[in-house]
Amino acid sequence: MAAKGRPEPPTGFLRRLDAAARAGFPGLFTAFLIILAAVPVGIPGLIAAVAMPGIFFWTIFRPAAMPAPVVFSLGLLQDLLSFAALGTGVLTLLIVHGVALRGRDFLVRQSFIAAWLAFCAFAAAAAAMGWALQAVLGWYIPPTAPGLHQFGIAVGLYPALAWVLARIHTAMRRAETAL
Amino acid sequence: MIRLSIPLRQALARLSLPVLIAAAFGIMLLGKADAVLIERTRMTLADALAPIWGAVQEPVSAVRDGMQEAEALWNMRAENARLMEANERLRRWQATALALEAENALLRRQLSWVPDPSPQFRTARVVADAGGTYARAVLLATGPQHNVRKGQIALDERGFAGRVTEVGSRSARVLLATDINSRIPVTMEGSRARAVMVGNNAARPRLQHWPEGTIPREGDRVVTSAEAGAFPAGLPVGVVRWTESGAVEVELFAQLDRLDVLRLFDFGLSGILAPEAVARPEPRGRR
Repeated sequence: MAAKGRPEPPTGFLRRLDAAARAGFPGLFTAFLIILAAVPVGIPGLIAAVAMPGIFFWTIFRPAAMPAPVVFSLGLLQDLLSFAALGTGVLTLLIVHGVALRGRDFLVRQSFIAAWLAFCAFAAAAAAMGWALQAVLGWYIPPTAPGLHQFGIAVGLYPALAWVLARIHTAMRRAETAL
Repeated sequence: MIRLSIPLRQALARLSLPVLIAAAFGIMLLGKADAVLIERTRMTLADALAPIWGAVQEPVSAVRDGMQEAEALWNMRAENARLMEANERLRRWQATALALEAENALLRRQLSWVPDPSPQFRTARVVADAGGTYARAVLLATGPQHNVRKGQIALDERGFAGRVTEVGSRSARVLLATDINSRIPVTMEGSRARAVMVGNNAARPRLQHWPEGTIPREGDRVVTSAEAGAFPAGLPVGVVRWTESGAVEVELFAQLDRLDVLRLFDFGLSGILAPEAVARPEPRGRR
């Protein structure tokens, strides 16, 4: 972009394309991360841990780009790829999305550390819920260690992911105000 | 696009979350009711994504190989001392093995022994971790023309890894021996006692249902048993380990946390295979 002067206003089609790219990016990027997380690197349960930070972040900072149907599709993708009991991931992610949306006005003003702590609470609740759903659907008492493991990975991944996503979000906002 | 009034659109947006949550419950029921449809959907998706994973797998394996290389270089000195010592020990074993092999050949000639058919196998690359938080499985890229079937047995270069549970047109899913749903009939090599190896999603599966009176001994080799007709007898599985809490576990020979390629064996129905034939990748000619 030129440093001086006003940028040339883009034509209608390009502007629409630009807006569509910005609107579609959060969902597509999260889907891409979920697919990438299925590559075996020796860490089980990575898929479920990758989806939640993305959905949490975008729900708070750009809810228009992460509506409930997108969360639903991401949850379905996660469940299909991870061979988990179908529907558990969908339900967990939708509830995370719904609660985060409800508390958005509060969460959006928090500092990074506070947002991370809030995310920890969300991840713990999601892990507990995943465990309970697994117990009900499989009709057995699953071990708690994998749930704790997933919680740990999600909490550890959030800062790294949120740092990148926050950069992208700022860039998007700058592009929007420039128009 | 249909233009909607603003209050209607707002109402729709507010309604979408409850409707989708209800749909999630519906999907859960569907997953319970029609397992075949879900399985087919999963394998279609896995088939579509297998080429992507195959491509991504290349740099991941390159990085992992590099790290292993660095680690090997770091440990070279200690490794060397250990290998010299092991080499001495193995040389003695080699002499014993050669003597036993000669003796075995001699005895077989006298008994008109029917040799075991050497099993057909194909090798496939592990491209995706197909387990979830509560499951242990891997996805193999098998290529478009393959003859992988359900129930085939997957071994890595050291021992038993799992069984093929779902097959798509270019990928297959292998349920690992550590998965909570895995039940493998096994035999303790020392006492010939049968038992069942039960996965628990941890690194070491448990041993259960051994006959009364024969307690598994620490360090005893565990091999598969032909009991249920699902496995050939004698595939190497692992070694018996007692935990501090008094549970009996199996330390697997296969390195399930770093699977790169798996060999899928087709044993037919009643194929029986000696363990040493499995340890060598290429099938040998008959003696």
